[in-house]
Amino acid sequence: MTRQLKYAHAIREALALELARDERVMVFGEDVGVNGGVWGALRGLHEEFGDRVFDTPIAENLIVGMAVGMAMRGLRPVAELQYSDFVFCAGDEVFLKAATWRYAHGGGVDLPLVVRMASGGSGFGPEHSQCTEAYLMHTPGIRVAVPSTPADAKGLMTAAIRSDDPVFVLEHKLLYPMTGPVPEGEHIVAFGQAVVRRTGDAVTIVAWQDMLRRSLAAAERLAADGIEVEVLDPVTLNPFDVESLVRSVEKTGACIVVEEAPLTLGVGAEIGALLMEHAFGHLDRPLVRLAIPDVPVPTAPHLVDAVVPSVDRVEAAVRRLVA
Amino acid sequence: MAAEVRVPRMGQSVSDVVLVAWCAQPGSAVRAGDVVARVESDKSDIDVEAPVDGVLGPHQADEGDSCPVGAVLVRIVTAGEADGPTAPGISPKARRRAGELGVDTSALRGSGPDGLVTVADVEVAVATAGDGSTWQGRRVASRRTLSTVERATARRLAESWRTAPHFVQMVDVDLTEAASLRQQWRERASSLAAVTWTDLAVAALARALARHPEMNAAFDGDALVLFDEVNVGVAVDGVAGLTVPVVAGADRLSLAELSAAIAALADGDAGAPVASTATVSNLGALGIRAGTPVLNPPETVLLFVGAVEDRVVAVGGAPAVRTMATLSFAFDHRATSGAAAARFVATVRSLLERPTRNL
Repeated sequence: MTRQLKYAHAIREALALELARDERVMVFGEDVGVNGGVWGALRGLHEEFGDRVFDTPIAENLIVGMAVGMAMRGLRPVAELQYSDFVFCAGDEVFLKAATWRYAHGGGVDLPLVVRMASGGSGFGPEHSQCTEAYLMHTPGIRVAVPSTPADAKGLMTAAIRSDDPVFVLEHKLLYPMTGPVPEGEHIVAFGQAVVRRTGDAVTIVAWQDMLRRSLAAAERLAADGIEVEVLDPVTLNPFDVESLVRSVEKTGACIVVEEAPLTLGVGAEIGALLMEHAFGHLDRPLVRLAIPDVPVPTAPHLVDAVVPSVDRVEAAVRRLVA
Repeated sequence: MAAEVRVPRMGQSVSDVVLVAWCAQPGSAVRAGDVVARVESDKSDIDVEAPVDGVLGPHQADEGDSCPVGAVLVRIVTAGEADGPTAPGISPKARRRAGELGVDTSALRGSGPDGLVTVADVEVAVATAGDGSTWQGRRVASRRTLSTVERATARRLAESWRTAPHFVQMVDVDLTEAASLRQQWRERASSLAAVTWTDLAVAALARALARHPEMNAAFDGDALVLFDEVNVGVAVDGVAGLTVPVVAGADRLSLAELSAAIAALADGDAGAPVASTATVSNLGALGIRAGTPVLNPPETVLLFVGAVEDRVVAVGGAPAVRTMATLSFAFDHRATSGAAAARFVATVRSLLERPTRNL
């Protein structure tokens, strides 16, 4: 059975099901317990599961460090960072401990931890609006999931909790209130399997989360003029589904990556490199990266509009590329 | 951005030039002032110079091409451009496809962003390059087998042109009275309301042939064969090619009967199963004024009807607007003489100019 659920509630459902299924699962972070999380995604979990859903001090290095320790000792922690920007506050635990300790301990421990982070949604200013997936994707040893639909939010969260790897799940702030069909009961979305959200032959757009929504809206407009755009949602960035990307670009010969993050060395740069390596002979157009210019994310709405890829900008880029 | 080298303005009246030669090849470095191409108009030759230092992009025209003034001949990529937008080139996919298809990519024009040669450009080049064979030194696009009708037409007309010494006489006829008659017929919805210019021409030719029996004839080596009936062929440009269905005994039909018979031919009626003794061809509706038609062998005369149009002509020493047409007659000089032909032409003319009395 499937019903309509908000993205935030789909996450809550995944956490509740896993808390009920496996007593090793622990959920914690700033205001996660009594308050139910600043994004309202966890409301009622503390009442239902008691001290397995608990508050932490405002200390991100502690939060992730605690998760690493709990995971090493056999628990399955789900930590929350209120904003994905705070991954840098927890940098030592994220990039040095979570990412490397299985290697450093000679494979002697698993690190089945999940870090949930509210991401993107520019307008919260330079310290609270970033999409940090490129930094995470750059780091060997951790998985990166970017759910774009309520169903994927539930399915990826479930898969993340059951994974023995450290998994970072980026939850997009602007998607929390969005509704969509979500399967009841156990629902798992496999990592490393991109989904074609719209089929076309003119150009492949790779986008996820809010940029996926904007790309689909642009594709809808372009279809009115007979330009059929293929829109690929990578679903997870590590592992990255190179095969689906290449299959799509072999068909279209062109690729536009739309991302809500700075241009330089962003996910689009990596995708461009992957295409060079795996699809060079199939490229019929230069790669286009639509991203935030290399500036801090602004706060003022008109400045946000000036830098974040918009539906108009995606549409114009496609028209220029395939004209 | 790249600097563009365009066809220069070469005088008020020059709209197109011919690209005579390229003096610099794609990829070569040029300095401002270097000659990159030579073009010529019907008035002069000009060396086209690079406006800036840089590297030449792909040629946008071939030697021998006609290019309008202002057209881009080539782009020059300037030094500061290396980190700018993609320079014109060929996409990897297009290059790979060109390799598969054996296409020479150096001559391709790019339709992609910034002039990039895309796979579509390669495929278009293949589609328009023909079947790869050559015929008498020309590249062949395709070969269409002619229909039976087209083959017969070609054979008969070539034979006609080779064997019959043609001469053509042209005459202007004043159709003002005929035009006004046709107007009256239409207004009164008479039985003649549908009479066309072709009908009138056939009627006039048929009646003139009856009066000049030696024109209703054919040259046969040592004799002139005079025919017993006037059968007029009417050239019809149909789906099967050029056909010439025949109106039998055209000189004996009333104008209304003739008109009905010709209308039936135009609707696809094959016409009478008899051979024609003279032929009418009318391309006036397409605006053709006069022609030098080829005889329909073994006939002695063919009438080509030009466009019926208002012209200013001198009438009694003053300019007047009259409805006029030019008739072009082809004759077989073996069967008739210029003077006899001129008398025949005069008869046709007078029949058409006084239709009330004669037709």
